[in-house]
This record gives sequence, structure tokens and C-alpha cells, in this order.
Amino acid sequence: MASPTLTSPATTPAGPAGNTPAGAPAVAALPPAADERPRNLMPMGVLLLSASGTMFFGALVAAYLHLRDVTEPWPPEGVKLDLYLGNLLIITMALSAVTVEWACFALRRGDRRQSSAALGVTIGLGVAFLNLLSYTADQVPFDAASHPYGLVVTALVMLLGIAVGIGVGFVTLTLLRVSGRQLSAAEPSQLRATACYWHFTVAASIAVWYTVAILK
Amino acid sequence: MTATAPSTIGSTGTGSQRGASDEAAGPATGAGWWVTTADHKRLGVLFLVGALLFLVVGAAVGALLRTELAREGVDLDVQYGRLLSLHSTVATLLFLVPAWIGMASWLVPLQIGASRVAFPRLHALALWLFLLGGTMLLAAYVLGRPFFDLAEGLPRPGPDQGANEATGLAIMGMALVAVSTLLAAMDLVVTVLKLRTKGLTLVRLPMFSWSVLITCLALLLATPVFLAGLALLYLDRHFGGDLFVGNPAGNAVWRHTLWLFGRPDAFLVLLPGLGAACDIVATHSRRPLLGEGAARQAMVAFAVLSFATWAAGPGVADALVLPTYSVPTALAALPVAMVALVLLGSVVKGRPELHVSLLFVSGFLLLTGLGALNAGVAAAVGVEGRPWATGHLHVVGFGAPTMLLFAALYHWAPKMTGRHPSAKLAGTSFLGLFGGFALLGLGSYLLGYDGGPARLQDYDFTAGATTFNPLAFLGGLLVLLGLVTFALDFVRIAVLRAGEEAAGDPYEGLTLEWATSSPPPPQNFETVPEVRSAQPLLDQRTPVQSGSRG
Repeated sequence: MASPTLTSPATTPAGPAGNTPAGAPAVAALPPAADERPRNLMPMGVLLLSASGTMFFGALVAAYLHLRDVTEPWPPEGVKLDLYLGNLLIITMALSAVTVEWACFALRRGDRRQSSAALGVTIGLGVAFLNLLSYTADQVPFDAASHPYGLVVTALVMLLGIAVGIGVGFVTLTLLRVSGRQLSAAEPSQLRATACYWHFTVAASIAVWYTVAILK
Repeated sequence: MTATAPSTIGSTGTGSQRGASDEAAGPATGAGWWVTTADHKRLGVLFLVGALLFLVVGAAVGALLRTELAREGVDLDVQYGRLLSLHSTVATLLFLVPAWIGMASWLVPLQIGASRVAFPRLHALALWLFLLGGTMLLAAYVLGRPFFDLAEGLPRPGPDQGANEATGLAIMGMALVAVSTLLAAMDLVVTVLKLRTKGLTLVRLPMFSWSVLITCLALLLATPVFLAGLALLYLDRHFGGDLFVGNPAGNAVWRHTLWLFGRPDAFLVLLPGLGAACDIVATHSRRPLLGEGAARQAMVAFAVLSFATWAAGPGVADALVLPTYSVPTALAALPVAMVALVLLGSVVKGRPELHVSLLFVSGFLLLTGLGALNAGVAAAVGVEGRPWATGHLHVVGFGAPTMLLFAALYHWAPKMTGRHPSAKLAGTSFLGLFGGFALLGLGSYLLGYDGGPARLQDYDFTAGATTFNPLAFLGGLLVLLGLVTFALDFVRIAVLRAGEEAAGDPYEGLTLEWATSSPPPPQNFETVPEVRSAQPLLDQRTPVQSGSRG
């Protein structure tokens, strides 16, 4: 049983994960033990922020649906979205979901080169998506100020672009760390977190596409 | 056990004492000490100081508003609306939530036996975003009146709305504060879920940490909706649209994004306070909380029901306590009543020692009771108009959670500073804050029963107004007095290092934060006691019964 004395300089320090019984003999010559960093901190953090992101895009989609119900005409006359470009955008993002998982799989097996290649392809697909999204936004025959439709679609597209842009940055950082041997099969948590975030952006892209192109 | 008292409210330590967790904490000395820090204790203190400074601004503006209402002849004219908007925005966004985040940043790692938060640098980013966003928000009101606010809700058309720089700055400021809330909430949730010491299961979490976990999860879901509304509002203005000005469809979108954030938020500012009150009462009653499991479940129910208040109706006061438009809103009062019963039961069954934090907890119960009583009266006699709602907001929505925040500050002050606060100053602060909120509410309630006008600035100084408005004005002054006294006390013990030194465990506490020195060393603990129940320190003192609790 532990001693009633709660703190004692003559005991061995312990990190948050370790419970050294009070009264254990101290090793005076050694510095305090380093914290044992728990695993999966970053994936959990990203998962929570992705839940917030889902609420964020959910609110925008809800605003779109509400405005659609109370505004006539919807979409404004003369607006016809190019489904071809929209479908291409979604296919690009869906492919990138596969490549980011490929990167995770490769790192788990200790194959750093293949993991780096997969992350590189993911970045390429992300940049291609952003490029095509920008092109699509330039082509649409409306602006944000002309009609509620213009505002809410512009908001969805711009904010989705920002989310994917952040994702591309995140994947690039992870690629650098994988290439620099800072991530490995034993310490893959940043790559897992990157994959979580990337899947969120894929889901958000699909939600935006379904709302604007299918539900209209 | 004596206090090993480093020199300031944050923490210091010699190089050999600094653990690996403090690599991110920045230099221990020097001019940039507080600026570059990533230590959760210093970040918590900075969050608290920032929130309290914003509170002082909001309270001072509130007192200024009351001067117009208290005395005939004082006329703020068009500035009245601008100041009222500032007052309500500061109170809603810049005080209670950031203050609880600060308290949680400081305390939660200590309560769970951790040496740090999960993402120290991200937490530091959240702090600076909050301070920057809050400053931008205040600066917006210096430039002019933004054409929307959180109290009135609906964006108003105005002659200068197209070129109103204040509106753009206010939107950016609010967005930064919202992002700061999200980051800090995420970090606190991960900290609680992943950094708990061995043996500290979720059901053994101290009540404050439990309430922080629930609150942060709810904030992670509610805040993004507000951000989405701000994004639409900003884009509409940026592109020169008119969706949010005079368009009913746009107004509905804004109203619902605001409500889905603001309604839970109005309740969630109380939730960490309830958790803190449970820990305070258990500590000073010297016994485990009576009905601890029920209190935990009540807090979860409270958070869930707070989202249901989204559909409560157009008035914020309607969403707080009865009378109300919706059944879920009425139900949200039940978990609070449950926790109040747990608190009272624990005091009755325990051996309570009077401490100023208990006074603040009783102040919370009394203010809540005053609000409930007036809600009942209002339901019976049928009161309409702004004054009653103003009183209700100041008593139930703002005063009651503020009492709990100050209860927490005084309870954990010895741990934070290594010194005991002055009993006289603490008592004066309690009298100022409790008496102030009570008078502020009472004056407004009575004015409401007297048939006060819909808009406060439209008074014609009838007999009722001249009697009741000065009462509310006096209440505002008392609140300011309470704040000043509190500030003096904390400057005295934290900066001047005056006052009686505090031991590591001055109250014979039950939870882990009392198992380290006051203030804690940089790595928080030399050793973390073994946890086999929700009251690990009580287990150490009474080994025979250990394992039978929690």
C-alpha cells in the first residue's frame, strides 16, 4: 500500500502512463524519465476535428437545401452544371482515397519507398482536384452576389477547396517525414492521421457533389 | 507536507527537474517566457487572464449602459445600440467559454495524472487565436457597429452596410475565436481520453474533468455550425450580395446556424461549472460525492438536451429556463436540478468545512433558484418585454455560471499560486458578485413585471423605471466591485507572493491534483499515486476501505 506521504523527492519520477509505487527507492544519478508518449494521439485529434468538419459542411449543405426549398427559381435560369467535370472531380478524389490507404499499408509492412510513392500520387491527385475545381468554378455561369444559389454553391466550392488544400499540405508534410525516416511501421500515427483527414475531405467532396450535382 | 513554492503562478523549475514533457514549454525564464510557452499551466492562466480582461470590458460597458437607464438626462443616443451589441457579444463569446477552457487547460492534466496536454503547441495556437480574435472583435466596435450581433441575431440592413469595415473585422474576430475553441476542445478531449494515468478509468474521472470532456465534445459539434454561418455571411458581404440583409430565407439560415451554436453554448457554459461544483463540494465535505453516478449521467443528459434547445423559439431567455416554448428545453432543467440535489445531499451527509468556494457554489444555487422562481411567476402572470428577459439572462444565463467559475478559481487558487487567498477579500468578492447579479436581475425582473418597454433605451422614466433601474445599476456596480476585489486578491497572492503559503494538499483533497506540490512543478508530478477508485487520495488516507469506492 502506498505511503500517506503524497510527494517525496526520494522516489523515482514517473510519467503519466507509469505508476511508480510511492516509496520506491530513487536512482539519484539518473535524470527524470522521459514521458512515454501514448500512441494514436494525432489520429484521435484528427478524427475529432473531422467530426467538426462534418458538422461544418453539414451546416452548409443544410443551408443549401433550405434555400433551395424557399427560393424560386432554383437553380437560377440559365444555370446548367457540367456533370462531366463534376464526375471527374469525384473520381479523382475517390482514387486518392485508395492511394492514401496504399501508403498506410506499405508503411505498416515497413516499405518506406512504396509508401512515399503512394503519398506522392495522393498529392498529385489532390493538386489535380484543386486545379479542376478551380477550372470548374471559372466556367459556371453565375456569381456569388447574383442569387442565393450562387452564394451557397460558391461557399461550398471554396471551402471544399480550402479543406483539400490543407489536406495536400498535410500529406506533403507526412511524405517528407516518411522519406526522412521519421515515420515507420512502429510509429505510423501521423500517416494514420493524414489518412483520416484525407478520407474526411473525400467524404466532404462526395457530399458537396451529391448536393449540388445530383440533388440540385 | 510543505509547499515547495516556485515563484509564480505558472511554474518554474531547475533544469534537472524539467521533464521531457516540458521541451515544448519554452524557456523557463526571460522576456518571452509567457509568450513562447506551451506549458498547459501557463496557457491556462493566460486563457483565464484574457477572458477576465474581456469580462472587465464587458462589465464596464454594461455599467455605462445602465447609467443611461438609471438617470434621466444621460443620453448615449446612437451609441447605445453599439455598446449594447458589444456588451452582449463579449459576454457571449469572450468570457465564459474561454475562461472554462483556461481553467480546464490548467487543471485537467493535473486531475488525470498527466504531465501535459496532448498537443501543447496546438493549445498555444488556440490561446493566441483567442486573444487575437477577441482583440479584433473589440477593435471592430471601435470602428463602428457591426451589422449583426449574437444577441439580436438577425443581420440588420443599415445605411453603411456595404462599406462597414467593422462587420468584416467582427466576422473575422468571431471566426478566430471559434477556431480557437475548436482546437482547445479537441486537445482537451484527446488529453482526457489518451493521457489518463493507469487505473483512472472514465467513470473514475474527477467530476470537473468529466464535465470538461462532455462539454468539449458538445462544443466540437456545435461550434462548426456557427463557423459555417460566419463563412456564408462573410462571402455574402465580400461578393456584395444581399442574402443576409432583408431576405427572409437568408435570415432563417443565419438564425439557425446561430441557434445551433448559441443555444447549446448558453447551457454548456454551465456544465464545467457543475463539474467543478461537484469536486468542490466533495472536497470540502470530506467524502465522496453522494450519487456520483447520477451526477455523471445528468451531465451527459444536459449536454444532449442542450442541442434540443435549438428549436426553443426566437428569444434567448426562452431557451434557458421555463417558461419555454419547447419540451426539450424544459427537460434540460432537470439534470441541473439533479446535480443540485447531489450537491446538497453531499453537504448534508458530509462534514463540510466552510470555504469561500462553497459560498460561491451556494450563490450559484441561490441565483438559479431566483431564476426558477421568477420563471414560475412569469409563467403565471404572463410577462413580455425586454427587461424581464434581460434580468433572466443576467441571473440564470450569466450570473449562475460565473459564480461557479469564481468558486473554481478560489477553490484551486492555493494549487495555482502556492498561496491562500485572503478570506476578507474573497468574501468581499463573493458579496459583490452575488449581490450584484441578484440586484441586477431583481431590478430587471421587477421592471418587467411593471410593464417595462420592449426596448430598454425607450424608457420614459415612469415611477417604476426610476425605482428599479437604479437597483439594477447598483447591481452592475457591485459586480464591478467583486471583479476588482478578486483581481486585487489574485495579484496579491500570484504576483506579489503575499499571503499564507499553501501546502500541496491544503484541504485533504480526494483527487490527483492535490498529490503534488503547490504550485505544481513543470512536470506536474514527482510520482503519481496509484488509482483504484474515483478518490485515490482518500484511498491512501484510509487504506482499509480502499478499493471499495468507485
